[in-house]
Amino acid sequence: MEEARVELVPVKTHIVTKRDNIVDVIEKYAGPDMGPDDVVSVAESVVAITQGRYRRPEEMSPSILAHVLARFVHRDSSCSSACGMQATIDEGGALRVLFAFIVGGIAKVFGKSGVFYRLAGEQAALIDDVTGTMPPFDKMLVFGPKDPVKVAEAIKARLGCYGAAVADVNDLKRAAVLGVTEGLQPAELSRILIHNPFGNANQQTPIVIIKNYAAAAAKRG
Amino acid sequence: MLVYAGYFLAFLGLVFLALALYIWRQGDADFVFDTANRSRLELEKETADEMVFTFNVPFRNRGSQQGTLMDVFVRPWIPKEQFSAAELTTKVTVASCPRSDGYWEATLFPNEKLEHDIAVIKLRFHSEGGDIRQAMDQIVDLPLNIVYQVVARAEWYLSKTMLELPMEEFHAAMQNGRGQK
Repeated sequence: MEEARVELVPVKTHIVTKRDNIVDVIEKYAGPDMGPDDVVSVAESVVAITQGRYRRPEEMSPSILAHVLARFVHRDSSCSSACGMQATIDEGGALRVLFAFIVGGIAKVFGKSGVFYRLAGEQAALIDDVTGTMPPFDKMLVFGPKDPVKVAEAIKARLGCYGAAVADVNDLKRAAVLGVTEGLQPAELSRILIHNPFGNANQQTPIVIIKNYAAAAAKRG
Repeated sequence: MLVYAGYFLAFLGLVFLALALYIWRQGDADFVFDTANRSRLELEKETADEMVFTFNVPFRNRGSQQGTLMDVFVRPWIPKEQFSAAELTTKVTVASCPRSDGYWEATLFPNEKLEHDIAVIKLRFHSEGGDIRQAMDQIVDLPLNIVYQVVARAEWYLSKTMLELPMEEFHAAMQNGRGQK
């Protein structure tokens, strides 16, 4: 794909909450700018928030396992707090997380990192600890979204755009596309979104329209 | 068989001990609000029925792990039996990333940092339809609790630090504020 022909348009929204329907939000704010050649991408944490997938630390009772495992995780990880690890256990299951921890630890001894997150379930890498999301969700642990492919398909069906994607992008040049509509390539979208066009949380732009995506793809194809 | 069970229990005990030692050595975040080195009270704003005082309290994470101050608020201990001439409300924010809405944004503070961060505390006295100067003449020594919620390696907890603002400092700030007009 020739990136020069693709334009990224961040879209500002209100503070989205669990009272919102993500498809309605995208239609309201991005709908007027969407064309049939465009792909709309939405930040995964915002999708998760509309699904009510967040918890306050005060609502959680970390187990002994969570307390112990959290102590062995890198301090910058969302699993490094007892609550963050408990959230991972709640999503992935205690046995699975323990297994991932043991295998991940052994793998790390041999210089291979990231194994824990691959084995502990997809949520392990998606949970945002407190401070990970903009106010008022800075005081919550925000989980990854449920059924991101279904969400993407629902967005496409409503907006009539070329495609839709749910993405986890940050300023550390990390872009993971969690769900896309049929025909889109997650790896290619990750490359397009790698510079985090969503901006930081306070910019309130959880939607990015990838303009001319289909036209650029056709030209390449 | 009993011997093997004994070995197994001893092994479990050693594992437990090693974990406890590791966690103890790792430690956790430990926030301290250095009230002894707070700034002097200043009168920031004055209208006919309102006065806003401000002062700074340095704080830092002196622990061995980074930690999040998830919430910080200032709780005055001033009952109406002692002072009812004006209503007091408080706000606190961090100087490096100030907010004016009174909302404390959860912020991660590293433990390696030697210099302090600064908590900016504002005290707003409001005398409904009254004369704020006259009301503040009745001010007494004001005890304040800085209450803060920490999330770090261990489970979240609340803690607090108390300080007291002497009434003479209010009077001096009002005097200085008057002089600056």
